Amino acid sequence: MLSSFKLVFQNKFYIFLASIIFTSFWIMFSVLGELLFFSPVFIFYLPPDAIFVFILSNIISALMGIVLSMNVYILKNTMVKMSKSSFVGSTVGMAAGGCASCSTVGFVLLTSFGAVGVAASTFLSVYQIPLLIGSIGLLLWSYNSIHNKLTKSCKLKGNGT
Amino acid sequence: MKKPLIIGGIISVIIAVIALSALNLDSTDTVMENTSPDSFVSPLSFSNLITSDTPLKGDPLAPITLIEYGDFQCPNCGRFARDTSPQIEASYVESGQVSIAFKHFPVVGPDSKPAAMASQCANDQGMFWEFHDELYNNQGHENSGWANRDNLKQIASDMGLDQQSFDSCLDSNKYQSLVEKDLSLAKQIKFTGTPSFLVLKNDGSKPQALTGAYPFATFQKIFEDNLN
Repeated sequence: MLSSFKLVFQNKFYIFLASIIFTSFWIMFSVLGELLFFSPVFIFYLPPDAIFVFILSNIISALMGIVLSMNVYILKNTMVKMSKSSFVGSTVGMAAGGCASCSTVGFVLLTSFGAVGVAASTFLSVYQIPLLIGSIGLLLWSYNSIHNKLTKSCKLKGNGT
Repeated sequence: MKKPLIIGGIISVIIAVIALSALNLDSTDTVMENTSPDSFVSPLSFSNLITSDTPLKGDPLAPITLIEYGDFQCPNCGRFARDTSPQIEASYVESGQVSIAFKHFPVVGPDSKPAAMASQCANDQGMFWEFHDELYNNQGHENSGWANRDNLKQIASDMGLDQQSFDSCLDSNKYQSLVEKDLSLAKQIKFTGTPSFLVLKNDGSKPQALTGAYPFATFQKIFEDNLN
């Protein structure tokens, strides 16, 4: 499973790209989770009730960096199609990570979409941890499919004749 | 043909992420404009915000009043109540430098308003802060029914509040207009989430508005800046 990882990240451009993606999502999850504040004082704050979600968010951010960078590698260097599961995984992760009702995004849902917004926000809040775990699963599946695309040979149909 | 579009899509997602974070930052720290003429009572003045029905902890004459706009169903309000508020009380409220008031911003769901009204009914019996702590310490998932009217009555009963008086207060929606008024003012201030705060100085200067469950260090900085 590591061979494809080494293949992509031996190029420093992809390390840089993965770092940018990781940092962007880390900041987004931390700001929306009300763990990172820039004003009036720059401070990172991790209360006990947020530790588990923070760990899951970090895993998602790291996987996003890796998987999206590998997808870019595939697009630039091969003729195969991009993995859709990485997009599904990242979308689910972002929604679950950023939509607790108290945050700005959750507030927009609640105040703009009435009962539907309440239902959506409640669902995302109540099932936040299962959704984040599901998102990690989708990103791992995506990593696996990228690995297969990069390392496995094409198979011929039928009996190989 | 599709590759540039997909790479563009990835870049767009990253830009959207950064923009979303920036949007969140923009809404967190503002100094409110008090536009009312001096001859009128400003909507954000102490006398207008802190009425006889407003739960207040600490010295009413403290140089600074921190007004929280909260929802009993909001997890981040619970975080503030359990983690940050006790530190503010120990460092600033007990010494008489800051007082804390609570106003209602019930937006999370249908049970938010009954919970807000119930807390005011507890306030009638001088037990607002005990009821406040009880709700936040035993907070359930949003809109899961933990804050419905029957449970609120049960919580009040378990705390030893006068059951008949509490039930009558809640059933008659005695504080519905107060809760609606708080909600309306919070929207007027353009708060974008819960908990939100107003930092009010007793010298009549412009109040500072904050949105978010900021940690103690942030409030410490704000209080020290204002006290000095």
